[in-house]
Amino acid sequence: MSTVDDIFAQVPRRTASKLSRNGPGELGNIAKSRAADEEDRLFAQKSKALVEQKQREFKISHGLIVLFFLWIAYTQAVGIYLFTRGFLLTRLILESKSECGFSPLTASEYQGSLGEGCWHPKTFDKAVIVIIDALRYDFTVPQVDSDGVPSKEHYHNNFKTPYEIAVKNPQNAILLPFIADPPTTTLVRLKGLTTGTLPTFIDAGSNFAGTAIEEDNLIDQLNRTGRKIAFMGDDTWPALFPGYFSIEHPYESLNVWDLHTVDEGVLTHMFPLLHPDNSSSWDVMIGHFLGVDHAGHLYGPDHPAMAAKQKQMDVFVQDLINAVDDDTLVVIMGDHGMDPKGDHGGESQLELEAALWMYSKKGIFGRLPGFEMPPKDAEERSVNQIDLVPTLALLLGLPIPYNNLGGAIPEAFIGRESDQWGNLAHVARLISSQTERYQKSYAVARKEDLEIETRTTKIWRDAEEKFDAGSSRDTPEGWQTIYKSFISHQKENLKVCKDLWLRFDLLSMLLGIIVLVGSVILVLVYARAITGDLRDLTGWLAGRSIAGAAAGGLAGYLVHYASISELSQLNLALSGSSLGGILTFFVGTFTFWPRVRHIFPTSIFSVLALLYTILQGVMFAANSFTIWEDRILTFFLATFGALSFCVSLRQEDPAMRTLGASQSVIFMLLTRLSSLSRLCREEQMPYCESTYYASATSSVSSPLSLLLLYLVAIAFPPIVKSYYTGTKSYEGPAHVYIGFALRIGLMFNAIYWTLDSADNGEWVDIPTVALKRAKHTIAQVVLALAFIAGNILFAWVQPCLNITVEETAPSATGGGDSNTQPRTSPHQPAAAATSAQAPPTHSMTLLGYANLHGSRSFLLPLTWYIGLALLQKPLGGASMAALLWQILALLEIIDSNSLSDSPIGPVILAMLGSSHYFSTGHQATLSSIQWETVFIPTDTIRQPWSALLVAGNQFGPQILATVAVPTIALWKQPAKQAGLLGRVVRVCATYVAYHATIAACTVLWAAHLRRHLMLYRVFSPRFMVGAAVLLFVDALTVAVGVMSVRWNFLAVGEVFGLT
Amino acid sequence: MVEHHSAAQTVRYSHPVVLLGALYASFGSLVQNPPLMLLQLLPVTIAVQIAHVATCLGSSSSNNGKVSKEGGKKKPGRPAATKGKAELGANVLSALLSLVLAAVMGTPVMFTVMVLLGAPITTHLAHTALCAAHLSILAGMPLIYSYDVQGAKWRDIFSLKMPVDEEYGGALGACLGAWLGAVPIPLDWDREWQKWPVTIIAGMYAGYAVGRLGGLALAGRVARFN
Repeated sequence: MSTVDDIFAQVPRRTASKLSRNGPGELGNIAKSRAADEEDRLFAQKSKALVEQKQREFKISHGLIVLFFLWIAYTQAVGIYLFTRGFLLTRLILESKSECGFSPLTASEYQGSLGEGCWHPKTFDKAVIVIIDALRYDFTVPQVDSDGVPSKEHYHNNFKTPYEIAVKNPQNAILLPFIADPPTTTLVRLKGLTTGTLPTFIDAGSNFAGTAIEEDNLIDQLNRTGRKIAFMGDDTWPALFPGYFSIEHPYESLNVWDLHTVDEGVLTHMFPLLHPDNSSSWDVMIGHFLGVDHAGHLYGPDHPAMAAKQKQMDVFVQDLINAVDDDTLVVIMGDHGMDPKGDHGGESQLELEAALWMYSKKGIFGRLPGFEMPPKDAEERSVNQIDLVPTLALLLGLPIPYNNLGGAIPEAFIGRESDQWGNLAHVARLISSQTERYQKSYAVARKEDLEIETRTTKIWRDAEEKFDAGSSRDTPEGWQTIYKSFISHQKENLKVCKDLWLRFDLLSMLLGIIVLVGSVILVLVYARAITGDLRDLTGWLAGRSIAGAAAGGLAGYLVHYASISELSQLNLALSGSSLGGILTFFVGTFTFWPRVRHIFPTSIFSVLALLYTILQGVMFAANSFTIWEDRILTFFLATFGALSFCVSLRQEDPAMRTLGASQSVIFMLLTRLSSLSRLCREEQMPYCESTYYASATSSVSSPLSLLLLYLVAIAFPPIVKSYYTGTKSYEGPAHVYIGFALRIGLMFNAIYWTLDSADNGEWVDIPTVALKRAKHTIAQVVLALAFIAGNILFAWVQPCLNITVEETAPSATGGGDSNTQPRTSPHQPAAAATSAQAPPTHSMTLLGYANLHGSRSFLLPLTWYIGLALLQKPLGGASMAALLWQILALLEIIDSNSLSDSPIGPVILAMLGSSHYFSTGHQATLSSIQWETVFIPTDTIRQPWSALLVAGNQFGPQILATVAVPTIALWKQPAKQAGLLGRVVRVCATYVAYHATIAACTVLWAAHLRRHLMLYRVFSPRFMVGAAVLLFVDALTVAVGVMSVRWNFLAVGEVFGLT
Repeated sequence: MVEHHSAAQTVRYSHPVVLLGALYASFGSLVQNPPLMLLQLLPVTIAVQIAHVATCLGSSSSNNGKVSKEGGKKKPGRPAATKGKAELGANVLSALLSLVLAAVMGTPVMFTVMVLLGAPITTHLAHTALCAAHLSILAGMPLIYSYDVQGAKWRDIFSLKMPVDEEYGGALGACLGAWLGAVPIPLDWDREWQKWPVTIIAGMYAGYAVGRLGGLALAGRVARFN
């Protein structure tokens, strides 16, 4: 070993002597030079063979480490998959369709026909159904403050016509709050509005790719009864109902930057069709406007663009009612509302409250006693969105869709004098009977015992008995009683269904939890319990575990054929393989049992690391702690800063003491400063004030934050540089990355967001098209610079090192003896290692040796930062700069307190990532996803790039932290230290262990609290964030973290040899 | 360094009780109007602390925080009552001096630390400032009295390298208690006492009392971090 080291130790000298020989004025003695050449040749041969052997060995052990981390990632992904499968709700989809001639009632009662209405006499021949996306109820009713002064918000008192008509001519129109079933995404809402049934949670994920509806629905019934449908607007419709429309004009729906194309398209195509000449070409017309929704997403509700959109819609309503004839029903509705920021997806009250307006020139609408005026808000009175399904079906003479759970909207059936209780009771009975029929088929499909009468069936039978009794059928009051009995059946049934479809697959959930918790323990044991160098052990463990996984998978597969379990083949194989792998890992640890110690911490910082991890894991059990996670993280991080300040003061060396203490102060300051940037979630109100956007009701950034971005562009590169100059590492590629790429990239970021603000705020008179092109070009350049050029270059560049050879006066010692070693002490704190060597008149200086690995390895997070910062809003970009600075401060704190082996480094790094998740305007809620990121570098949606852009925005801070993980183990570490690779592996594993613990805890709490009121608002979204972050972290740790180590070690090894 | 004659002993053991009692008695009004009550409570705390340091910690110039055993043994032998009276006067004077130092230097430091840990910046400034004042008087003043401005000692104090005694234990306890006091704030219990900085104050006082007991139990120990 020592001879090998000797040879490698000479490499730098050789490099230097080559350099100096090529230098000017050095070609003196030819004979001497020849001799040296001969010597060089022999040496080169010997060393080349050794270098190659070393490289081979390194690549093999590195490959095995990658394999091991891949296996961990696979196991955790399986755990999350199994849990998710059981946790996210499932509902059986019945194929049955309602038939026109087959009413749920007995044959002796009303038997209609296609002409007069299938199950009930129809009221209208034609209908115009218009969806104004995100039409919240308060947009439609006059809003006045307590003094009676009309509200000045941009989103109030613009859309007035519906309210005015409903008040002035009550028999012509009704206006009601229209409550959506969450999740409030358009795709899910359209399913609900056409099928009349409840969404399952998993539907939320498929918003980007609408798939055809298979269940019975209104559109299908219209088709089956031979009606012609004309459609124009949001292209989600043709995706849900391919081939159903006889006329269709779909428009791209997801481009939120475009407020007008869809709306103009609807207006252009709708009015010609309303002309009497064209009336035979359609029976039902569907229009879907997106302008209001997009204005909300882009600017938030309180913006002039929103007012303009609402006024345009108001004019549209006036035009529409002038154009329709007496036999046409007009329905105008929102599919969901919007939150105070103009986004939607979740289940806050504002997102759920849409508006429903029904209008007919004939005047058929009545009022329920006590509700003569349109309600002020949903608390006063509301109808469910699914209630529209049976109502529309019966008004148009269609059969009620088979799986409908909604009830009748009574105003539509009670008659213009509000006295037709008999009609209303008949309608309610029809709807209840169909629901009851559906429930029976559902029970059959689930193979349940039909003999046991359910509670709802009993209510239904009681109502039927009342109806059959006949005595009450003579008076309006009697009918009213019958109506109420059926309505209570429908309501009770809906409630039961909501509970029923919260039925979890406990076995699958349990398997997922076991796999996940097992993987957490295994990573913890691997990262913290095994002593010594992990490098040699990992390969061995990887082989065993993967073999175990294969065997387990096979076993699971076979269990399926033994038909012991009901789980599907795939799930059995997956759970078998992950459990098999985990088991073999633990069995494997017994073979090196003496190297395993307990994982309980012994030093203050490892106690802190464990404490932080446990506290965060536990706090997700309480909804209030989960809601306030952002503040809690700030509190924890600042506490770490304070403690590291105190501990740094313990250092005896004044330089180290000052470094540690000052970096701790910087760390604390930056933590607190970046916590000022936040986007409050609804539950934090009223104790929280959002700062991420210009105001609480907009999603535009404030111009001030642009200035911040310029400040970052100017001031940040020198700050990063200062962390390099301390060890004289600002050499070689550091110039390219920090001096060039960082400056240019950040300046381009600032320019991009300036143009974006100019575009949004219409500051300048440049046409939008030109601005857009400029924006997109800049964004593409930055992304290419950061993610393509930056990464490729990283694989090739030299370490941040400069070797200078100086001519000095001949020294007394030394001579031509080539066996003298250049003693470059790795522990030398200063940057330069000098060696006075043959020829004696030259001395060599290595600049940047003290941080050889760290300075190069940090270039990777640096280049990723440039790209990830672009994807954030201006304030988020500044927050990401703070994150990178905090990482640098953390590196210095770790180095000055010799904590590179402590778990605190990776844990704090991970917490930094989580903390900046919040300061970049995110929350653990669906509505805080910034979808508009897709359109930063381009105009169109192109998968998988669009999804990657959204992910880069959503998890940007965590991604940046993950990329920086290996640097923790490498920063200022001696280049030739033994076992360095093993330490990098340990740090990476600790980092994964932290995230796995958090994800496992969110999973455990979500499972435990699955009946909690706040499940969908708090626990379930947090579980999804935790699981998604873990998957990203796993993938990136392998793909970027561990891989970057390979380039780094090989590049350093090229110069100094590998250990 | 703790004097062992009876008056000192009484003050020494009763003063945490008095402090906690005062806090308990004023808790209702503290919840109703935190800044006002904190301001009214401040003189009480100051008086108790001055009485405590002047009687229990001996003359500040004579002991420089040497291990307490020696100081404790020396004191009972001191005879002259008149000398004791003069010394008490001098002690009160230096107690007042350390009070000024704690108020002027300690409060801004504590305020900054509280803000860095997440206290509101734009609102509740009086709340936070008074809270910081309480902490610096509770935790900082006895330490300033004992060690005035010796740099090396203060470095030991901040780097948690001091051998633990009652005063240092009390100071650490107050800080830790204030830290723990932040825990119930975010809970959705809708209690009036969850408002800023009631829980911090409660945690601080309780922590101070417990810390003193802990300091007594662990006297002479030095925190080891590895």
